[in-house]
Amino acid sequence: MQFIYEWFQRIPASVGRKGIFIGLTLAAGILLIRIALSVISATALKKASIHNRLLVRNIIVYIGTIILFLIILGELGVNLSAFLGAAGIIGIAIGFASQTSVSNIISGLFLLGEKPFAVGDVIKVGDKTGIIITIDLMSIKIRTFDNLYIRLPNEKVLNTEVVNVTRFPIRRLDIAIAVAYKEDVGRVKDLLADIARTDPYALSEPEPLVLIQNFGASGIEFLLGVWFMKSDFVLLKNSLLQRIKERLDAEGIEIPFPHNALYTGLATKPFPITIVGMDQAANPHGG
Amino acid sequence: MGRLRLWTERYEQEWHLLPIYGEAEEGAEPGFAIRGKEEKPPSADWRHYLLRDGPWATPLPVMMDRPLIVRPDRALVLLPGEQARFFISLPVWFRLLIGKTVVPESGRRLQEFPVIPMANAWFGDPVSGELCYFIAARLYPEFEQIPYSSVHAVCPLWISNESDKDLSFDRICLHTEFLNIYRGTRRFWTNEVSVLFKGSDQETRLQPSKSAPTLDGAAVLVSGSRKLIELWHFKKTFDLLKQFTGF
Repeated sequence: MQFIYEWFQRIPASVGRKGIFIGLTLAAGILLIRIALSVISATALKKASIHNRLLVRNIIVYIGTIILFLIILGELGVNLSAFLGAAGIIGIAIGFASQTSVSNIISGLFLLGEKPFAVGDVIKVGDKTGIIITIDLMSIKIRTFDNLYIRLPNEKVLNTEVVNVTRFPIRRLDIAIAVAYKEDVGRVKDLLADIARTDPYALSEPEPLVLIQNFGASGIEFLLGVWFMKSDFVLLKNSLLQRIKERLDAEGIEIPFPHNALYTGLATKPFPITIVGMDQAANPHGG
Repeated sequence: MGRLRLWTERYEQEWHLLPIYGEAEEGAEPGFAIRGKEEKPPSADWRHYLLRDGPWATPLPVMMDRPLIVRPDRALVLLPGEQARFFISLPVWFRLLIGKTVVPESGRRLQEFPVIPMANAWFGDPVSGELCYFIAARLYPEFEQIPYSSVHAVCPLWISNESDKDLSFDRICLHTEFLNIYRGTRRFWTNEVSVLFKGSDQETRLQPSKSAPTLDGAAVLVSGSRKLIELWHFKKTFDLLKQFTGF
């Protein structure tokens, strides 16, 4: 205790005053930034989107912090004009060294202007899919459906194809189904349309689409397109796939698996099969 | 009620409800019936409401909570300057009111149920359209032709083509949020709706009447509209399937 007391005694009075002033400036500055954030959030940003709210909040925090930093430097006796001059030179050097960061910031500004998505949207970037948590100047943060936090640099987002899954209120689920060549195509079309129409999660309008897509290697390929509300994706997919399988099974319609048929030259005749040992079994004495 | 079978149970401070939708019975008249004590069906879908007070439950017919797309039995064309009147039979919903008495005004809304399960549908383009319900229905030129049902309300609809183009449509979006329900001598009725068509690219002008239709003695207001009826509403009302490419 004695040692600490002596150490405080040795601090010059001017340094002590400066320390107290800086401490008070810091506390008052942080308080002012917080008040400014609260006032603007409660007034100007009351009806703004989460996206814009985050952007304005970030700008206020960054500007406030820089001003506070400069005030403290001034109090510490740093010549600000010399400091800013030096900062300019250092800035250029840092700028060269941090091209990626600058690129991310510029990309962020483009993204903010273009607004391809907003906080809360579900997006797909490359192989990553998730809900947007924040959109910042340097990066966007998403939460994947298995609850992982992913930071995507803005430059990457700007240069990559981004799919906004939840932009529009309704979507269409496309399901590819194949049936065996022996099946009645008209009956299958009617069945698929009926399955889609009676699904509780499908929209009746726009009407479901049933398309004969191709004569595939193993069967006739259909495309069933069913419209749904974007929030019903999981429910519809589970329901529809289960009902298709159950209904086709119940109607005795074969869903083919990939297979190859061998022909001996005549497509209409079966491959000749000889069972070894049959001749001997029929005529054991060989005569 | 229609295809809806609503199970209710009253406990001290609690109401339990279970809606079950059955298949439409062939030849059966869709109606309203109250059954006595029956064995309660086991289900995970029972809804439990905590209510300190309210020994009485009163069902009240109300209009559905979203617009309704009606697909007429035939595609129609209304020539420029022409006017047509149709009657459409709309399935009602039932609002269950809980109160100290059977007077509906004193009751609190517990839950609302459609009398038939209603399919969801989208009206308009996929970006700015609206979520609706969907029914396939016949447009009747005379209301006497409509089969009697105690769980449907008849809506008189006037359509006027005030444009210089033919009005072709096979879908009508009925904005049921502006419809009251009235009790007539035999049926439920809604207020009359006039739809003025000014051109294919414009929204229609919708004018729901604020009073009961002068038909079938429909004079007693049963339930009011969900939204305030104003003089004119500008809404999209007609559609053709071909306008929605679907691919």
